[in-house]
Amino acid sequence: MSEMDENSLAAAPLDGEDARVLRMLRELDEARDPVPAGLTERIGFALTVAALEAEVAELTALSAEGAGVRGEMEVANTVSFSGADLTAMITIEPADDGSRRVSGWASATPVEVQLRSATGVQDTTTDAEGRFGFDHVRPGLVHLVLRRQDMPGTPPLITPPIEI
Amino acid sequence: MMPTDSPASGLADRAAAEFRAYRDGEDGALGRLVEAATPLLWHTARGLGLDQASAEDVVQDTWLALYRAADRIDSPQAVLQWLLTTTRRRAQAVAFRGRRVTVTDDTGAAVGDGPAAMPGPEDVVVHSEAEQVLWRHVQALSERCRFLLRVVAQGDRPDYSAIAVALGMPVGSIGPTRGRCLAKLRAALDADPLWSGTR
Repeated sequence: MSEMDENSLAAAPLDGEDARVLRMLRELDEARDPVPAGLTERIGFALTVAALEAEVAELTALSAEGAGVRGEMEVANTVSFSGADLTAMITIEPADDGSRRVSGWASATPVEVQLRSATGVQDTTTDAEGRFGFDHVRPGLVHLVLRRQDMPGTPPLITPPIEI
Repeated sequence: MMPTDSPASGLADRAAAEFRAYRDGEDGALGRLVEAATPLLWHTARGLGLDQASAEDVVQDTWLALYRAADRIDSPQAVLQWLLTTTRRRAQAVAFRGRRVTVTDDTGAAVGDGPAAMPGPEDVVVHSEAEQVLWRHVQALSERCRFLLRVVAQGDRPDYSAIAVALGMPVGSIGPTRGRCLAKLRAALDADPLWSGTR
C-alpha cells in the first residue's frame, strides 16, 4: 500500500465496515480480558465510604449457613462486625415470602441503623437494649451503616457487602 | 459509502447525562455512570500494561478522584474524557514505576512491558474465522495502534475522536475520521482475501 492510499484512508470518515471491525475488537477484548467480576460493586462501595466519610467495619465472626460475605468461602446467617467505638451483630432469617428478616444488636444505644441495598435504603433506630430489625429485605448484597446518636461527630460505621 | 449503524448518542453523552443527574442529587446516577464507563477505563489501564490488581487500583482511584473533583469539573460533557485522561496518567505512572528496565526492539518499541499489553494469539479464544483473521492483523500493528484501537473499540462510534484525544493520540482535526491506526488495519484487512470472504 502506498503512503498516499494510507493517508486518504486515514482521512476518510468511518464507515460500516469500521463499525464491524471495532465491534469485533471489542468482543475479542471482552472475552480475552473481561472486567473482573464485582469490580463495579467494589468501586460503588469505595464511593459510598468516601461519601459518608465512614469507617469500614471489620467482620469478626461468621457462622452457620444460608448467607455469606461475598468473596468468602464461609457462609453464615450470623455476622458480627466492629469499628473503633461500636460492635454489632446481625442474624439473617428467611421469611415465608422469600424475603429475609435481619435482626441485630449493637453494643451502644441509641444507634441509627441504615440498611442499604441495590433497591433502596431502610432506616431504623436501636431500642433501649440496643436491638434493631428489618423485615422484608430482598435477598442480595447489602451494607449496614450505623451512627451512634450519643456520639455525634464520630464517623459512621459501614460494613463491607454482606450477602443475605 | 455503506449505511452505518451509528447510535444516536455515544458513551460520552450517556456519561454526561448521568454525571449531571449525580450533581443534581439523583440517587443511583453515580452508580450508573460507574457501570457505563468502567469497562473503557479497565481496558485503558490493561492496555497500558498493568496487571489485574494494579489496573483495579487505578480504575478505583480514578473514580474516587472524580468524586473529590466533581464540583470542579466545569463541563459535564467532558466527564468521560476526564475519567479517561485520569486513568491513562495514573496507569502510565504505575507502569513507569514498575518498569525499571525497558527492553526495546529494533523499532524502539518497548518489548515485554506487561502481560496485558502484548497478548499473543494463543491467549485468545477465537470463535470465528473473521475473528482469527482480524486478530492476526491486529497483532501486526504497532503496540501504540493496538492500544488505541483496543480503547476506542470500548466506546461508541461518536466517541472515537474524543477518546483518541484523551489518549493523547488525536486521529484528525475534522470529524470522526479513521485515523492512521484504523486505516492501517483496514488496508491490511481489505488486502486479505480471507477477510473479504467473511463478509
